Amino acid sequence: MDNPVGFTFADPPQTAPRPHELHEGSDPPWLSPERVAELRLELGRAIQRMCPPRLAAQADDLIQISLLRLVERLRKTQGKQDFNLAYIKRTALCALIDEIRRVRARGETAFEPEDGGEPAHPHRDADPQQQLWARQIGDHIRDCLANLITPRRLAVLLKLQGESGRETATILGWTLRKTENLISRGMADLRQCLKGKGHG
Amino acid sequence: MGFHDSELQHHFQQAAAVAPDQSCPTAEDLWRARLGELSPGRTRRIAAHLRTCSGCAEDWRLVQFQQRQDGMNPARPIGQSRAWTTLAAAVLLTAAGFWLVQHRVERAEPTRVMRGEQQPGDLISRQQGAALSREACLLAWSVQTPAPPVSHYAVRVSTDDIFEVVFAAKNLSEPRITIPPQRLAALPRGTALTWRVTVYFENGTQVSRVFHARLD
Ligand SMILES: [Zn+2]
Repeated sequence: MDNPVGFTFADPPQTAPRPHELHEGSDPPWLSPERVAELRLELGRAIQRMCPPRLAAQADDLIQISLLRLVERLRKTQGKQDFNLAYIKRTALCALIDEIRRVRARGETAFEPEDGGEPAHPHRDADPQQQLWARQIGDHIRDCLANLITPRRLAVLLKLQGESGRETATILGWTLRKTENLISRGMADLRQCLKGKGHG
Repeated sequence: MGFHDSELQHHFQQAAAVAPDQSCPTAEDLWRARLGELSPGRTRRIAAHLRTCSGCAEDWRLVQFQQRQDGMNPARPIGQSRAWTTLAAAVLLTAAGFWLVQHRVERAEPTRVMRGEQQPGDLISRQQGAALSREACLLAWSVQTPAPPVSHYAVRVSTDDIFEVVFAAKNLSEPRITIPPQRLAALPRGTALTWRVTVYFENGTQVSRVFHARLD
């Protein structure tokens, strides 16, 4: 992948500034090489932990992109804001998602096996008929969701995304009781709709 | 026969990608929406977007997984351990009553009882939150009785991030399977794994469960 940052902290090209040179003048204490090295180390750990194997080759780029974001933020806030580990991980994940989106946008599939070995896509080893059926159900679920009243649709969407009732309640700002009620009714609506489409 | 919740989740999550429209939220917005940090209107627009954009839906699940791993689950009271989070993930897929047990975990933590989320007759998981050993990666489970006689089991293990299948086995007669170490060799330490167990009953019905863990 191209390196949009244009430099690497480990081995900076001649044309690119080092992070502490982004700020004019001498190194401010909040952007010291030591602090940048610390951030890089934490980002490296986070990226290594969350980066899927298929994007392992991009790990260094992701670390640099994330690091630049943090450095930019440090610079903007003149060091008034520093980062805890949670924020560092959040930055790393957002960079990772951006990269996954770039892969998607380029039409490259991150799911293809690289070694020609085991099937990497969950549906790949199913027979074509089954694949078609599974895809059709997925489409029908999306169609049916469109017909649900909005609160039920949102509750069911998050349920289908694997959120618990409590999580959904927090995300949408509803009480747990209301949320569970909406999930229950919404799921019933969804099943009814799917039945009408020949599933069930 | 109608779909179990877990089957609906599976089909929704595996549906073919729909071309995203121009309104895809940023990764940062997904992160903040899931923590309830955005305005209600914006959060709802993002949630609604997940219906038509499987890319963002997948990104949301990445955020979800990471936030749960880091204890940033908005639903999680402060002070509870990672075991609780893993347990919560296991209980997400509500369906008929049976439970799965994963053993042979290292650095095992005491089992905690889920409170608040469970419905009567719901799953009681005894899964313990800890890393899976890559040398002796035994997955084991059991079906809570009363249950119809079991015909066989199937297991599919994938990475959480991009749903790469690392191991699959069908027609298992025993409720356990060891993943060959070579299948795990290429995965970095800490890789998030998801495994789905499907139990096929002799009466023709089946039930699936999904679990999450990390590789040591
Ligand atoms: Zn989108």
